[in-house]
Amino acid sequence: MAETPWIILGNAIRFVAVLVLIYLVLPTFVIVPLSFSSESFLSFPPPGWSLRWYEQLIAHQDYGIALANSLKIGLPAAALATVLGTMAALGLARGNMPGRTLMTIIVIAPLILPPIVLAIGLFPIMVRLGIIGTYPAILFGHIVVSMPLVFITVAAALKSYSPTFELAAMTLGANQWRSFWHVTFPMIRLGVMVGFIFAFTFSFDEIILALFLTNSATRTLPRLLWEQLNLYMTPLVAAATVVILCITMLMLFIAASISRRSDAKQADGSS
Amino acid sequence: MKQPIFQPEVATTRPLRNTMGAAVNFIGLEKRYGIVRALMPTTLEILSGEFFAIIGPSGSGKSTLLGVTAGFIPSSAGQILVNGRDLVGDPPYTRNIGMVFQNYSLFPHMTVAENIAFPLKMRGKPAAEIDGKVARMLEAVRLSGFGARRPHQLSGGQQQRVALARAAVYDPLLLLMDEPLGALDKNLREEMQEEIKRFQAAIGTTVIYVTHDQQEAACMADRIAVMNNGAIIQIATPRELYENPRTSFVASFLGEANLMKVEQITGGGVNGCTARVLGGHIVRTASTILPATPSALLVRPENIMIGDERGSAENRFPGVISDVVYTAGSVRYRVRLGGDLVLTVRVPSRHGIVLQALGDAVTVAWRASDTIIVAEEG
Repeated sequence: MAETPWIILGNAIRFVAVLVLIYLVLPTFVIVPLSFSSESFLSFPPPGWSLRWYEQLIAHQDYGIALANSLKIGLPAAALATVLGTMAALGLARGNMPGRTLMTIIVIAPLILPPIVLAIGLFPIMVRLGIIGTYPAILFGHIVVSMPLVFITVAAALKSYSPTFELAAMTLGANQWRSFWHVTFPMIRLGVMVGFIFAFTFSFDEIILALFLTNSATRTLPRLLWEQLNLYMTPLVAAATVVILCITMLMLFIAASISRRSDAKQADGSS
Repeated sequence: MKQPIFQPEVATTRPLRNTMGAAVNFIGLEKRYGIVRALMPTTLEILSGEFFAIIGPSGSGKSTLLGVTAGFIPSSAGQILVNGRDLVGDPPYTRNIGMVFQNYSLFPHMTVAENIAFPLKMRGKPAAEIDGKVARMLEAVRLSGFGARRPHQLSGGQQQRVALARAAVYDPLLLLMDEPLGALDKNLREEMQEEIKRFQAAIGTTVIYVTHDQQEAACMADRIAVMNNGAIIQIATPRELYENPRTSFVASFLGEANLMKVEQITGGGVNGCTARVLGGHIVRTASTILPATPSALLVRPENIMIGDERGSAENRFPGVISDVVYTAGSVRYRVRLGGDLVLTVRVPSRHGIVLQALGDAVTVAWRASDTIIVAEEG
């Protein structure tokens, strides 16, 4: 049988793929049993089980404040990134302004450049502006990096629809704004929602900009965890990490199910 | 359109509209991209209620002309007069022109009825009027009962009918169609051609119909403009265009054509012209005017006879059959004359007809009046 080597090769590839998946996911989930440890130091596997770290987490004021900070920064950052990213996508994917390729690269650049470079660049600017450590400082930082995420998802959504929809809307009597509101936006709505979730998830997990641009009053959950890890290696940190992990996974799950819905819609004849 | 104060309830007996289609005048209309002229200065008059087709190969400027008319593409010079009003500079949404696209462009997130209602909504019409008009339009395109469906639940032909209804529901003065049947298969396309003609007759609007399919244009249009390289080459009725094309391009774009390059031509007047064509053959034409520019002779394949029983044809040449193809209804021969001149001959196929075989020596013949002088190229 000429096919036998191919079957063996196919199985081998499948096996390697499973190993890689385990390798990718497992380290992330090691944190989960650690957070239920009965010991007061991080050890794996935990010698016993308890919920004491979660109780402490709820009682610990700093974590509550940091979580609130993360939301206070993440939600407006994601909202603004969504508005700006969508506008950029509309302009660059639909308009025909000169230098579109260059503009696209500039919009996406913050996502590709090392965040540390951006952080080091933003720091003196924020100092100069006298807003270092305030909400606007970290807000601006997060918008810059999360806007490309929205841009990419919305541009992809736009590209899956022919621009003749907008032309049709215009011949039918809709001006640019109404054509956007009644025709374009409903078609790319799911892409915009996914973009918002990506932007929020990014801000919620981000540490490097947070280290540079926040202070002890505005610090986010990832920054607090980082500081706590430097001082105490207790499973309290693990418990907090599990909370972040759950929120992030929930967000990504929502994004994935929205994407699936829009794919299914397109599959049966576009929406 | 002014609404009468008293409106009768009966919708079926009422005509779909009571305005006539607009007269359209393009005056020196031109589109340049840098130094490239996508549309040469074009002057063209389209009559009220006319079905006007524009045909040409891709890149000939026909879509540019349509885009400029709809307002998607800004023109570089000239005027677009619709009922005497210049549209140049107006945005697409105030031009009151309907447009049907090849991909239908029905809004996927709206139902069929919402799609048709969209232009009326944009015009701020009251809900009762919208409902009435949408219902009448659905009836006109024979899709009553489909209003609540989504576009993707309809077939291609049905979607195109919805697009037609949507583009016409607001009584546009002019309806533009950009290859509207390009995405449909052959049978459906023929059905839709009749449908569109019927629909146009019912609403009485002026139609500019762009297609690359010459047969479709000939079936539907009152007049056809043939475009090439950004310019209109000839405007004529389908029959005139086929029987008296002005240039060799028009002749070969519409149907099959035997074109013979003229090397020398003499005569003129009542006796017609006599030309020596490529290969040294002397061909007689009935044309009374001696052409001044380089030209070619056109003979349509169905006007050439194999053998000449009646002996009435002025042009007759010996030749050899070099190819025989049977197609539905007719036989197409290629006949090689001396000097490498090959003519296509189409003979209707009847029962009992004896086909010529490959290599048969035959006489081909055609009348001087079937020999048309056309300008070379262009």
